[in-house]
Amino acid sequence: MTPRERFLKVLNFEKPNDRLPMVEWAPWWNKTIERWNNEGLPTGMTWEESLRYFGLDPLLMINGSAISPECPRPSSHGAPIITDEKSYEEIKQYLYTDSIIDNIKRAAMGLKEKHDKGEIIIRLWLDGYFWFPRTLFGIENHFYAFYDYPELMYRINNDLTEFNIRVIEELFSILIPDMVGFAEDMSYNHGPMLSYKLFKEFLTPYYQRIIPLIKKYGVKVFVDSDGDITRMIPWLKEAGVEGVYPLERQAGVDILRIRREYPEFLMMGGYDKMVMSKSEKEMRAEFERLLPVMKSGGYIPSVDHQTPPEVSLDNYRMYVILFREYAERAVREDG
Amino acid sequence: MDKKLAIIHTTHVTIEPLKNLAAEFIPEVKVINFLDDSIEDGDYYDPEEIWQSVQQGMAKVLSSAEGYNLVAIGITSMAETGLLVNLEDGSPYTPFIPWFDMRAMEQTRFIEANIDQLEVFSKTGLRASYKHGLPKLVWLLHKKGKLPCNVKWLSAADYIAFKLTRAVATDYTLAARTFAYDLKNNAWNVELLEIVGAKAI
Repeated sequence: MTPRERFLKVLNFEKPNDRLPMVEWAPWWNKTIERWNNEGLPTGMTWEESLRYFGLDPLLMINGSAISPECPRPSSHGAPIITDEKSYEEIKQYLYTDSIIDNIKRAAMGLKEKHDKGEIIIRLWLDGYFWFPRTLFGIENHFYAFYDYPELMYRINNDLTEFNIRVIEELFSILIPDMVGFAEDMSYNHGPMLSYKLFKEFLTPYYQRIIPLIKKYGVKVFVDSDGDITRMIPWLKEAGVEGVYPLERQAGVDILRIRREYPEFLMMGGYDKMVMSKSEKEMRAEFERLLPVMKSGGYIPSVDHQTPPEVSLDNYRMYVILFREYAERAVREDG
Repeated sequence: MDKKLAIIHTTHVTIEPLKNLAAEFIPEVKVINFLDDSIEDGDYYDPEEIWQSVQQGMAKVLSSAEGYNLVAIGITSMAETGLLVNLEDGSPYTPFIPWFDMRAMEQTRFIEANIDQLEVFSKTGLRASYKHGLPKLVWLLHKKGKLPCNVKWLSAADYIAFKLTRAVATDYTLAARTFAYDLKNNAWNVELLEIVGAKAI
C-alpha cells in the first residue's frame, strides 16, 4: 500500500493490509537534529528525505496560515501585534493576502505529483479561531479581549473564516489534502484555557461554517491542541471537529479513555515523547499501552509532540523499529 | 544595560541573557534534562544537580556578557514541580517530584472525597489533580508516615530563588498551583491544609 492509502484507511476505521501508517506529525527540534547529526545522521536532508531515511511515511504540511511573512512580528513571544480595532485595520494589509494564496497554490503544485501517486500524505494547516486572535492580541490581552473587544473578536474570526474558505477552494482545486488541522493550542496541563461558554460563542459558529465545506470533499477535520484536551472533546464534536492531536501523555491525556468514551473520534499522536530517551523496555511498554487503540482504528500513532534532544539517534532508531513492529501487529491481531 | 534571565523550563534548565526584556533571546547556553528515573516510586529531578547547572549556566552567561550590568534575574517555573526543603540548613529533604508524575493519584482522590469541590474551585479556579503540589505533599506524608516540622514545600522556581537569596518566598501564581491557595482571599486555604494534615508556615 502507499503511505497515503494507509493513512486514509485508518482515518476511515479500516485496516491497511500491511501496517498502520508510521508518521511524524511534527518536525524534530532543531537541537535534536543537531545532536543526531553529531551522532551520524547525514546532514543536509529535507524533512521528506529525513523521514524516508528512517523508513517513516512522509506526512507533509501545506501552511495555510492567514499571516503573511511580511507581517510585523511581536516584540517578544506572546506579545501583541494589535490592541484594538484601529491597529487591526492597520495590520490587515499583511493578513489574508493574495500572496499567501499564491504561495499555497505554488506549494500544492510542487507536491501534487507525489501526492497523486500516494507517495506522500498532506496535512493542511489552517489558523484556528482561538489561535489566530491570540496571535494578534498577544497571549494575555487575548483573554481580556473576549470581554473587552467581543465585536472585534467576532470580526477577526469572521475575516479568518472568509480567508480559510478561500484557501480551501483554491487549494482543493489543485489537490485534496488528506486531513485539515486547525492550529489552536487552547489547552494547558489542567485542561482548556477557555470555558465552554466562550468556546461556543467565539469559536463554534466559525467552525460550523467552515467544517461542512471541508467535509464536502471527504476530508477529515482535526484540531491541533497541546495540553490536556480531554474535557473539550464534546465541545469539539459539537462544532463538527472529527479528531484531535497530539494527545500529550505528559499532560495526562489517556487515549484509551478517549476511545472508550468517544469511539468514533479520530486521534493522532499519543506516544509519550518522555520515554524515548529511556530503554527499549520502556519504549516497548509505551507501545503496549497504545496497542489496543492502534488496533481499534481511527488512530494514527505518532510522537505526542516534537522529539526532544535528550533522545539519541540510537534510541530514535530503536523507536522506529518498535513502531514498525507494533504498526504491523495492530493490523495483524484482532482489535 | 543588560538584563540576565535565568529560565527553568518545564523539563529543562536554560540560562539566557536578554539585552532588554522586549528583545530577542540570545541563543541558549545550556539545555539539560535532569530526569532521574532510577529511584523507586517514580520520576525525580535531583535538586543539587539542577542548582549546580543553574550556577554553571549563569557563570557562563555572565562571563560572556562583559560590560553589561546584571539588573535582574527572572525565574520561570517547572509547572507544579516541587520538593521539600529543610529550613534549618537549607538542604533538600526530598528530590523534586515532576509535575507530570502520577504517583499522587490516590491522594488526589482522597482530597476530592474530603472537600466541597465547587467551593475549592471557586477559591482556586482549579479541579483536583495529581499534578498539583498538595497531593504530592500528601503522598510524601503517606510514604514517610510523618514529616519533620521544619520542612517546607517549594516549587522549582521557589527553590532556585531560595538558593540564590536564602529567602523562602513564592509567587501567587505558583502558590495557586499547589491547590492549597485561596486566590479570592490571597491566603493559604488553612481548612484544606488541615484536612490533609499539613499547615502553612
